[in-house]
Amino acid sequence: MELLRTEQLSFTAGNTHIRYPDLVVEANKMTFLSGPSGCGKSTLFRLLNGTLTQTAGRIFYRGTDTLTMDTLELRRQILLVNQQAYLFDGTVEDNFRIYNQYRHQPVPAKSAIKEYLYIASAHFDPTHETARLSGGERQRVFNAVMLSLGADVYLWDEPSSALDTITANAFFYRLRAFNADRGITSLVITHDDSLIPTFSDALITLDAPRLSSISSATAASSTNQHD
Amino acid sequence: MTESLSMQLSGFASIYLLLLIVGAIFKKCHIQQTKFLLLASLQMTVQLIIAGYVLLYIFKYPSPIFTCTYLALMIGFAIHRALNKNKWLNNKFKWITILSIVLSGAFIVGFMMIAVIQKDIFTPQYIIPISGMLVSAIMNGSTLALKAFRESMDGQRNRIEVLMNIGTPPQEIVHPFVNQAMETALLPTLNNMVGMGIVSLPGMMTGQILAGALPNEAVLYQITIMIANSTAVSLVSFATLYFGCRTLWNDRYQITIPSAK
Repeated sequence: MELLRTEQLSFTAGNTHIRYPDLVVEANKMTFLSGPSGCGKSTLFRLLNGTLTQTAGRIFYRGTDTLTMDTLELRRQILLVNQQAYLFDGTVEDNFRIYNQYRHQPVPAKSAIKEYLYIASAHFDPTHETARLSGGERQRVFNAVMLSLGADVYLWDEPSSALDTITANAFFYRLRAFNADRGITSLVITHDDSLIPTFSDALITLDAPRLSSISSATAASSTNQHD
Repeated sequence: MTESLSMQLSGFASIYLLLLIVGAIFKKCHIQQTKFLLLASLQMTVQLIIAGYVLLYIFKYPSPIFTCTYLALMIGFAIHRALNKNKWLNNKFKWITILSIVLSGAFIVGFMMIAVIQKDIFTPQYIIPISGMLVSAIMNGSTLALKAFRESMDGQRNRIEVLMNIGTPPQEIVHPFVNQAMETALLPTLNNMVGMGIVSLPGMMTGQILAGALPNEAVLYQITIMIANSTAVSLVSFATLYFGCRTLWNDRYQITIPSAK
């Protein structure tokens, strides 16, 4: 079933000019995005959840043009997990509580918190202080907290950038099972191409910003430093 | 005029000798601000002398037009300073800042004149010095509140982005920064209140005592001014930030995080 579809999507800001091929994302699948740095993968995620607005073209979520939807509701359903983790001061448990409160939903039970931490390979006690976590540990806890928010679609931007290969594999393995169980759709950007054959149900490949876009847009420059 | 007020010209001029000490310290510590020190002292002297004579004239020939012009200049300068120190403000935010300064100034000065001092509102001897104190508190309060607001948001970009990405309404993301900035703006005023009478005899009270007022009466004025001050600072920082922060996001709830320009 088609969940997300783009039509003639493009984004321009300053020197950044990105034109996307028409894309389709199937429901309940784990779709990986690949392509060279600067091809607009992260930008695509931000367009999909409405934290950026496209210059031209349309995005359809379950058949509805996302520009006509309430953007906050869109983001509640299509959740973007930031590349850079953010945890509040306090305990791991506090973060589950605070983030869920920001979405006005009940705090997950202790057993559920433990499950989310397990999926994200964050083997910490919920009472652990976040100030004492290292970079990689923060990312794991952050991933677990994001999972607890219960969105329909997850856009994972480099969720394993601070994890070693074994931990990253364990995370994606459990994430896939969790997604299948809950009917969650995931899109994933990763720098580690070795994960793709094992975990992807579908693959979207974006090209480097094409030189042809210059002539078609008659722009003086379309060099794209943005990722 | 009482005798206690007059000052010998030679006595007055001697104060400038102290600038030599400041200059010597600057030189010793390699602080390259000697020119600025001289300029600032000169500018202050000229401005105050002009103000003195202008006020002398206004008090002698009181007219609501003069008084209002003086007040307008005062508020205009306060607005100019607050905007100049916060160049990052977008246009709407600028207008909200201007309105907040004008309205909180008008309210607090009006309250002081009508409810507390109970004199004709345009009596220049009262309204001008009182507005001077309150408007400068408002100017400092709004400048500080805006600066603290921008800095705390700029330092927490990651948090703001994450909360935006999970679908948090922008006002819930931004309000902690508003509250924090208001606290920062208010703290100097509150600290000032605590030390008052023990560490310092504040300027207004000192002036009144030098002019021959009884100390127990001078403190009443000082107390009212201090409370009016803190009210003015809370009002202006609340109005500026509470309404101004709404200009930071668009109808798709995309927040533009202010950065230094």
